[in-house]
Amino acid sequence: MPIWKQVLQNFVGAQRPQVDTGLEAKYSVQKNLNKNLEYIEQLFADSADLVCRRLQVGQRPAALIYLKGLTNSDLIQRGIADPLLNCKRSTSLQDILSCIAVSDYSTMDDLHQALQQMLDGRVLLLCQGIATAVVVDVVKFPKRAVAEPATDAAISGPKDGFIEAIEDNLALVRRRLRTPHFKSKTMRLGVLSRTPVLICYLEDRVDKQLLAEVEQRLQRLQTEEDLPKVLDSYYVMEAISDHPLSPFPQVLQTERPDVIVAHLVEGRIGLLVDGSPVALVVPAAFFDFLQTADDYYVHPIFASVVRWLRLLAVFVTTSVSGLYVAVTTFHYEVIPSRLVNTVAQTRGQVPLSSFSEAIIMEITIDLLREATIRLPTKVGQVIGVVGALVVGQAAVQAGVVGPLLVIVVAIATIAGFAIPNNEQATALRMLRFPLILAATVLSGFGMIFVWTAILTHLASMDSLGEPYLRPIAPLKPKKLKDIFIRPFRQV
Amino acid sequence: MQDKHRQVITGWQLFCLTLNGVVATGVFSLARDVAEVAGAGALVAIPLTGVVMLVKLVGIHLLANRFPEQTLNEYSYQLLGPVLAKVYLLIYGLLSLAVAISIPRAHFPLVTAWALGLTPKIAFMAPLAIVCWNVVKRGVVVTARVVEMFNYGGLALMLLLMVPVIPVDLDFVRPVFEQGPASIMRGIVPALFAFSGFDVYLIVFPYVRSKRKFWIGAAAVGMATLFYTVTTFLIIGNLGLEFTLLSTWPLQSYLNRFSLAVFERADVVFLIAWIFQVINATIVVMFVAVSCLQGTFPRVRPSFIHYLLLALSLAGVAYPIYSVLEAQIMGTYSLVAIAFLGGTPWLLWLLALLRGKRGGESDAQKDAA
Repeated sequence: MPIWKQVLQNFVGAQRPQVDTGLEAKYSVQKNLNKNLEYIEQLFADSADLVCRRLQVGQRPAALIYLKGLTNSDLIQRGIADPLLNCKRSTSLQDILSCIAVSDYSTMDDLHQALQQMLDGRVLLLCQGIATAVVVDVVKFPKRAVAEPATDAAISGPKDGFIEAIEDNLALVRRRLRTPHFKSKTMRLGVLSRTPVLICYLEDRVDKQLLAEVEQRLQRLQTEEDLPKVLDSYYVMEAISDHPLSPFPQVLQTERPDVIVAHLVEGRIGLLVDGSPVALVVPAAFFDFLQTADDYYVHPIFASVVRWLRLLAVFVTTSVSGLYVAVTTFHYEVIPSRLVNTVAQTRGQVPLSSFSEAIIMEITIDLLREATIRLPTKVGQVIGVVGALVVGQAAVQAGVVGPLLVIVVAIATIAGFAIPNNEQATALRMLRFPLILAATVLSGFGMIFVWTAILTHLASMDSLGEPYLRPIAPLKPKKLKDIFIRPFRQV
Repeated sequence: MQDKHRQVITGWQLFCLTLNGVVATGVFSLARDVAEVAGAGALVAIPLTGVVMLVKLVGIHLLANRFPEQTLNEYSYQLLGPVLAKVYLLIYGLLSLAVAISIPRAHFPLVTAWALGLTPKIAFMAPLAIVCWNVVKRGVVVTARVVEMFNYGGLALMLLLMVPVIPVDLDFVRPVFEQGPASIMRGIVPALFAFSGFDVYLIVFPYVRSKRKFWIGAAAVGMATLFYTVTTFLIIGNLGLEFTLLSTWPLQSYLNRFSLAVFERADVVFLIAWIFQVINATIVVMFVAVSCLQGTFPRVRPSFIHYLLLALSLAGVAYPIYSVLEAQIMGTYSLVAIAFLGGTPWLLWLLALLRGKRGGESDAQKDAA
């Protein structure tokens, strides 16, 4: 590997020490109950939430092992403990299983595998003289109710959004896809967290090669020592992206089950990650990030107009500040003569250069945005008002910036908010700075050079083998209309 | 060698590659260059150049169709043997590199003359670096995708430039044959230079999955010819023949007469937007240069060729040459390039025919099968 790649790799993601999960190797369940319990207690020493409850099943000593807080204690008592204590016959495993009043159970010979299930919130039943563990599903853990997604809200259409529980999220998708073609495969990612990840797709519509590619990438992550934990879907997103260093998102994130269903119907693949209310859709192209669920719940003409506005917003949010700098610094001749005096007057009152003016304003706006985004709503509003007064009025009156620039920066900021996907909006917002710099140094030509770099980068990118700029480059005329015009649903 | 099974480009991408390989900076001075030799006969000389290009296209197509599944590098070795093939590809690559250098060099004085007296030359090196790093290195598919992306802007500008928004004086059309057919024929030479970059067709031929390759190439030649002819007609018709000959950049003088509500002077706006087209053409010829040089030095690491070309092209753009000397070099080079690039496809085809060499089945044979 070249030295520069090694340096970059070390800089981007430093090598981590090898991670030992403790449950990787196979370990058979012993016939001796005490040996099993000793082993488990040794493995889970100093685990305050581990419960090891001994009981007598007929003539046979047994133990229930589970984690407090992840299980339904009431169901354990009524569905497992009480029936087992009243069990008269315990000569075989079948006798014991027939006593359990919970329908969802399985048996395992590998203790490590059973303990992995216990870590997911299931109860382990071990009996003296039986080298098999019974795993009973009584999962119950604290979770919030299904609610409207905060960052993916729509004016009309369904209001339910994903939550942190993967089973509930799968149910939300399944409710909308009542077909046997809907498939969901489970994988566990994160060497330590062993987070369940569901690969969802429609068997009859998905591209099999794409599915194999997704599975291959996720399988690679299963044993990836650099990924000890998966706490959110973003971890997966970052890990499976074709171009992780690119600021542009290559995997679509959504909190809405209706959106993921729409993409599954189009033959894409959805990824649900336990513990994350954000589902992922692959592959995703640049223009997918400019569409919202709302587009499909309003009249097609309105939706189409809004799409055009969003495309315009991409240009405005990235380039309008740079254009201001380029025009006021180099290209005065393009301004109509009736306007040129006004521009010259306002510029004349400002002691700073166009570049300094624009940079100060852009940074101030970004600071304001960053400051208000995590504040409580009421405080955020106050900061917003103060910011607007300081930036909008006081700065102009003090002669720090010109009124024209305030308008320009405000338009650019508002246009940035018109881009529905936060990841993409952030990436595009960041482009303002190189564009302003290029406009300052090389005028409008510099801006074109930066745009050349951006477009070249975008055209070179792929999202799981699919060109990032499709259906524009390469051109797919049939799919083109869904970018600019929301198609009518005609039967 | 790239994996051909994965490298596929569409017919539309072939059109973009060929059209954008042709139309670039030439349009800024073409009207003057041809009118200097042919007078108003430029209006005939340019379409005739299109016909010449079509003849060249037939040659390229015959050759490429004889080796449909092989690249230029592969069948050059088969037909010419290793030594001659290396020489052929080296000349091809160097000529393409020269075009890649000359495009930004030709554009640079235009920018400095019309917009920025102090624009550093590094401004033009940036897109060249981008081309080498992001496009050429990643193969034909990404190159085609990038060119296709830029093409939308270039195509829109081409169509816009062909709209006669300013009144045109048609009197100049009458003496179109005044200077005689000889001058018209001489006018083809400078016009041919505006068509350089078309050779990418030969390079990308095996990657195109379209049965109408010839017609796509012909459509691109037709579009370029139409664009050059119409703009020349509008420029000379609006500025007059005398002023066109006096103007350094006649297209800019013509654009300067536009007056829009938003932009009072449209020339710089067009010029800025046109840079996409210039970069587009640079990408195409640079791709040709890299492909040929990789064929010349198959054992050299491709990345080394990329870096070498990048260094050469940057040096070529930055190196100061006296304008008279440069004009002499360009004049000589143009003739050599035209003769070489126009003639060798026919010669290779003839050689293949005489030696009975053929590589794989042609599209027509496949269809028949």
